[in-house]
Amino acid sequence: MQSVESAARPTKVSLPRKVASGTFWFSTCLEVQDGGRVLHSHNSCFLVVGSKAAVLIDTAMPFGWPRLREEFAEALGGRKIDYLFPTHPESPHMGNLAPLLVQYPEAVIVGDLRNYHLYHPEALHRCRDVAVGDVLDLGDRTLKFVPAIVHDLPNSLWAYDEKNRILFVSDAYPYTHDHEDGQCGMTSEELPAPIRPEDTATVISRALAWARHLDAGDIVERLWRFLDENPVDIVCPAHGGVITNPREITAVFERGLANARRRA
Amino acid sequence: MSKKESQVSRLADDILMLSHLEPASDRVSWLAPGARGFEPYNEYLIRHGDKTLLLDTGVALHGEQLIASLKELVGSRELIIFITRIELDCIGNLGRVLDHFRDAQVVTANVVPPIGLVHVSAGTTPRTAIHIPMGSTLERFGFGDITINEAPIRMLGTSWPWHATSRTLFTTDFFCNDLCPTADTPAVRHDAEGRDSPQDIRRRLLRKFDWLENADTTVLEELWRALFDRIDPLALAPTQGRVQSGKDLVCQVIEDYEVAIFRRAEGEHARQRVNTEAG
Repeated sequence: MQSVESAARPTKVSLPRKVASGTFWFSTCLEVQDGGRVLHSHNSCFLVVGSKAAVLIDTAMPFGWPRLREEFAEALGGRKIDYLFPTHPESPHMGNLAPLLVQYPEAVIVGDLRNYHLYHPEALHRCRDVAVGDVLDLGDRTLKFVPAIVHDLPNSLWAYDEKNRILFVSDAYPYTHDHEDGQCGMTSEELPAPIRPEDTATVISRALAWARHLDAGDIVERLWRFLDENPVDIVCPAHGGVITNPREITAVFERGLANARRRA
Repeated sequence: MSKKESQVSRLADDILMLSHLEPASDRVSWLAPGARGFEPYNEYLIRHGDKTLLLDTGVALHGEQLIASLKELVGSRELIIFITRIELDCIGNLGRVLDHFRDAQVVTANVVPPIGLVHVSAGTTPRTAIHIPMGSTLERFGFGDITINEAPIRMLGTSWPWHATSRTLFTTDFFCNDLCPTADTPAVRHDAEGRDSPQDIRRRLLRKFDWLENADTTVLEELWRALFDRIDPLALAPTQGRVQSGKDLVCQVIEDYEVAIFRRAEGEHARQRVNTEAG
């Protein structure tokens, strides 16, 4: 498995990938038609392994389950998943909960779990609600649940690993890139061309359709404030590659949101 | 798991509604805090000749009842499943339905193929989902009187199918506010008595569409008007909440929503219509 540290300007990067110590990136990339073009769109999840416990953040898409099952096992190296944290209840983020609950029979689902009596009635005894400010103790690291400043469904949460300065942002910071073999695993600084505001447009128009109708200035200001108050070196989005230059890409994302509004 | 049978209602000659009542609960993210009564969860079946169209598949909680109802109501007809959104209240039983109806054809206007979003049993190999553009009819599937409209106000990609014959608009996660006060209240409303105020509607809408609070609704209003200038529904049929049925009631409900969303003064819409007609 290729790590981020060892892959400066690679020509091909496959997933899964080690993003930081005990932090692994998996994806079920979706090919989507965009006019005459075929784009790849990330549907990622992240495994965070501490000395005492491991948590899977989002689950990626069901069509990728047979491969993901093997990849999770390999990354865990004999450990088990203790917590499953779907950032919000949509299939790209929680669609593999059912097989994960079977595969890891001691795992507990954590998050804003409203509606789970409708979606996973068989698993209510394995659900634990958490709220903004709650902290998951993984041993030598923690995961703090923080507000999902950018979201589609209001019942969304983000997570922050303070020790490793990693922010898990679910639907925020989305960008797509042309379908080229090997690019899906590249970080924001490894792609052959810099990320542009228009690269965020496809996913913003689909997953964050509200951006057309809202001046996102307040939201972006909250995002900048969060980054100022909580040091972040790595941003892990579900619908974009891992970001290793957060402030630069936050500015790109900000312009992407502004462009969506202007296009309206 | 909820074991109550689906409540089957006939909305029109060829449209059946399967509904399942659940007590209103703060555990449901889209309900206003303190909501009381019972919330209908609805799926719709439209039958034409030897074909049956299922609009959405509901939440997993109602999977067993849905399958039992479909076995009885679909029989040997060809099953077509149209998915309006890829959220869990629309695709919650898609895998289960495909396991039981292995030749079923899934159709959607959403860019994300819904079959890749659900698990099916080993041995089930679903047919590839067919993507159709917004604005298409379902003629190639035997339902030429159904047109797929893009929802004017949406979160993810969302379709509002319009059944021209019965003038029913299937509104998926919109027009969902109306709950049943008691467990034996019909899931179809025909009169305006006791309906929610625009303020209640807005409170409920913001539970899911929280961005509407600060939205510039100019474009939304154009999209809304473009749709409702084109169609004149006799029924509004959502995925959750009671169906609104009858010309006068539907007009009132649409106007209430306009007040709630666009913050119009009540009665303004009616005045505009009168002025337009007079002009």
